[in-house]
Amino acid sequence: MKDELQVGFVGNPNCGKTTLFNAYTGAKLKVANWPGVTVDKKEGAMKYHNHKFKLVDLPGTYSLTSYTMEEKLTRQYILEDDVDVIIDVVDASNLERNLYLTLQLIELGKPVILALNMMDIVEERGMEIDLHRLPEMLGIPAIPVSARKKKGLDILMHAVAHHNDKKMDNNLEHHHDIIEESKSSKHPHKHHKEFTVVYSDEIEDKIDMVSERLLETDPEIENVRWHAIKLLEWDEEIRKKYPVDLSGIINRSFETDIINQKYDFIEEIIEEVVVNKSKKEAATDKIDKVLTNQYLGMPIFFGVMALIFFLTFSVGDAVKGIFEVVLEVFSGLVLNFLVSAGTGELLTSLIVNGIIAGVGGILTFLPNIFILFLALAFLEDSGYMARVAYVMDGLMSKIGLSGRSFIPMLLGFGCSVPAVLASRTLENPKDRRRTIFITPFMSCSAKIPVYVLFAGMFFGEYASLAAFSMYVIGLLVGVLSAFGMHLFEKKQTRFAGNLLIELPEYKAPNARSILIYVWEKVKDYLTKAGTTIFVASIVIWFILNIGPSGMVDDMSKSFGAMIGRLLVPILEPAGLGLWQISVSLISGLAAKEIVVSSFSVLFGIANINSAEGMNSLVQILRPLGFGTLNAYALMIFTLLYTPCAAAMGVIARELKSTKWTLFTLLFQLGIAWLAATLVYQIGSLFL
Amino acid sequence: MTLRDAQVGQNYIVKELDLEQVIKRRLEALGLIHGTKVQLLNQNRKGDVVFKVRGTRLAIGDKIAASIFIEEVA
Amino acid sequence: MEIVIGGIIAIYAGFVIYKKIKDAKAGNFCGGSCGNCSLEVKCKVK
Repeated sequence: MKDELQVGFVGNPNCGKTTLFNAYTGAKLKVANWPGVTVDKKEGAMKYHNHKFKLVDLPGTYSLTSYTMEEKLTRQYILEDDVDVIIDVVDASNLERNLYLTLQLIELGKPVILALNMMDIVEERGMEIDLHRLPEMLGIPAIPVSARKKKGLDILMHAVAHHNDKKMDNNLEHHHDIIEESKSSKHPHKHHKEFTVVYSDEIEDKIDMVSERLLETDPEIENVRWHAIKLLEWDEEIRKKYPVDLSGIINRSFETDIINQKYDFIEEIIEEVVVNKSKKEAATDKIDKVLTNQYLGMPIFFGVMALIFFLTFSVGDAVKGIFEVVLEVFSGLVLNFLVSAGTGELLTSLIVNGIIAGVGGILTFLPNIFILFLALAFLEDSGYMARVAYVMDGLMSKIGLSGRSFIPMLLGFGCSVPAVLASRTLENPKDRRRTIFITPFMSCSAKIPVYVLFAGMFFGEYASLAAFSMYVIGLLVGVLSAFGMHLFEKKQTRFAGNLLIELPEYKAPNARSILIYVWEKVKDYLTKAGTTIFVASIVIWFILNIGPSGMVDDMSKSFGAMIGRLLVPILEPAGLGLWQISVSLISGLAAKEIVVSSFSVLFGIANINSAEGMNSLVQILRPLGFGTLNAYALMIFTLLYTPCAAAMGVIARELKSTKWTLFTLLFQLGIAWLAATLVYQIGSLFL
Repeated sequence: MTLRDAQVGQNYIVKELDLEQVIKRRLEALGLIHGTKVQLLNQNRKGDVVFKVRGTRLAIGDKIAASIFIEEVA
Repeated sequence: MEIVIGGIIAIYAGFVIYKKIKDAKAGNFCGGSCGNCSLEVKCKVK
């Protein structure tokens, strides 16, 4: 027996496969409910009794044809890699559709174990599954589990460890009385002792014939039956690999016949094995009547988003007091230490006015970030995202996008990077390109510190409203840009009417997965602070403290100031004509939070997010001619201009075209300038 | 008649899928084939449709809905 | 003492820059861990 068993996890999307996988590996990988999210191969390891397991989580897929990347990957992995056992994770409350994949997996010929997940839901609904008959009909073990409640996990691994010992059990027992009046059958086929899925005599005959020819071509071929079936289905990949002459056997694809017969078999299984199929309208349908109602759907969605953003700003602010105190104490301690160590002025300045000011200031915004991601996690985990795609599809198609592109856009409120990557699930390249194009307008979480700071400084009690308006403006600009692109494109591809998306059951958000996810985000934020922002703060400190004649006393003589002044004439009409602002905006290309860090370093403000910090900054800015309207213009500019280096990198990679990437970046810069200028100029007329 | 003309809450049997291959296969993998029973759950003015097939809840656009031919369950 | 502190900061900063560039070349643009980047992004979290 092998030292380490390689176990692959396969299953439909939304069947809880990844939750189950995580339960074993403890990997902090989040589950989200839209199609195509789990596309990479995740690996983990675990021990059970004396066995070592290598676990691989494969992409969620409905079947194993060769049409999508997920399917090809899974197929390839099972056939070619060293997989010992496959765990087919199935939503037990939705067995019918899930079994289609199961049958395909069984046909692949490797050992398969059925993990009946979500048994807790089955129980709740009063359904029953005959766990004795099911394995008999499928010829593979069926283990009930509940990934969420962590039940049955040990038993499943036990079955895996032992299933590998013996070869395919010959426990198949079904009682078929298919009376096929097939004209072309040579002899009736009764392969049920060997094969789970047996087709009509006509097709079985053809399988025999194709198998013969395959063996002629490659006598060493593994699982000739599976390959024969694939050839009968006219599977692209297999046809290329084994260009066997099929003349005389078939002259068309038998794919539909084979699918039909598989589903016939599945219906039989369900008839025999599932008792008390739930006839009550599931809670999900009731909720959907409201949430996907043609009149209420969209307003409800906008209401939800508004709630999320308001919470982000108001609740976040309430908590930040603690962070401020901690920061003050910390920086005090460091200062004392440095002084008592006799550290020189320069180094002390670098550390206190550069690093601590820049990084510390950012850390105090953590509560806001936390709330935002918590809310987004709830949204995703519940299953509501798919409904959003449906509800927004009509509107989206009017501006040249598909409903599904709304999902990457929503992700963009967290971070543009995964949002842009998520656009890969969109098949149409135009759709994908446009979505990537406007995703950065969905204000990412890194811009929140800028909003909180400036809205807090200049807008008093309307701070939350001012910050919230950024999201609305971002959305509007995004929509208008998409619409503009839609009008300009010569061949207007209409995505209207082609939506196809599964609406999974609503789930009570799982506290564990949400906490894991949010913790990941918090760690991300802290890491970013400790790396990118740390380094950026140092760099900024340097360029603001070194000038042509060495170290400067007055920052306005530094290199930084000189660079900043170059941009002042351009930013002047937007109300942003201060070299300090140019420097901040430029630094914001590294990460948007750094705009705030720059202000800390520039104006020597220790705790910029505190009441004193903000007051001091306001006192400094007003005499420079920077007031409320300027602040708003700055917020708008930050909202719209070129995103951070990470986002730029991803966009460049996904667009795969220098032309488009440049266009995107310059467009964003241009729009930012235009919008800020318009707001400032028009605003100046009234205020 | 097609799914687009269906009534919310009613059950139907699928007769034919007059769709391009890619979408057709997607739907077939989900079990939407000739003879399958479906139940209409939701609809909007445009003709987009939410329906249930073999326990799965699918939302489809009006163009796809208009290409799925059905007949009423007796 | 000064040199020690300054040196630590310099080395750390250099290390961070080096890692960022290495990550970016490998296609990993995520800030820290890749908790939410799930589409074929090569992460060190493997």
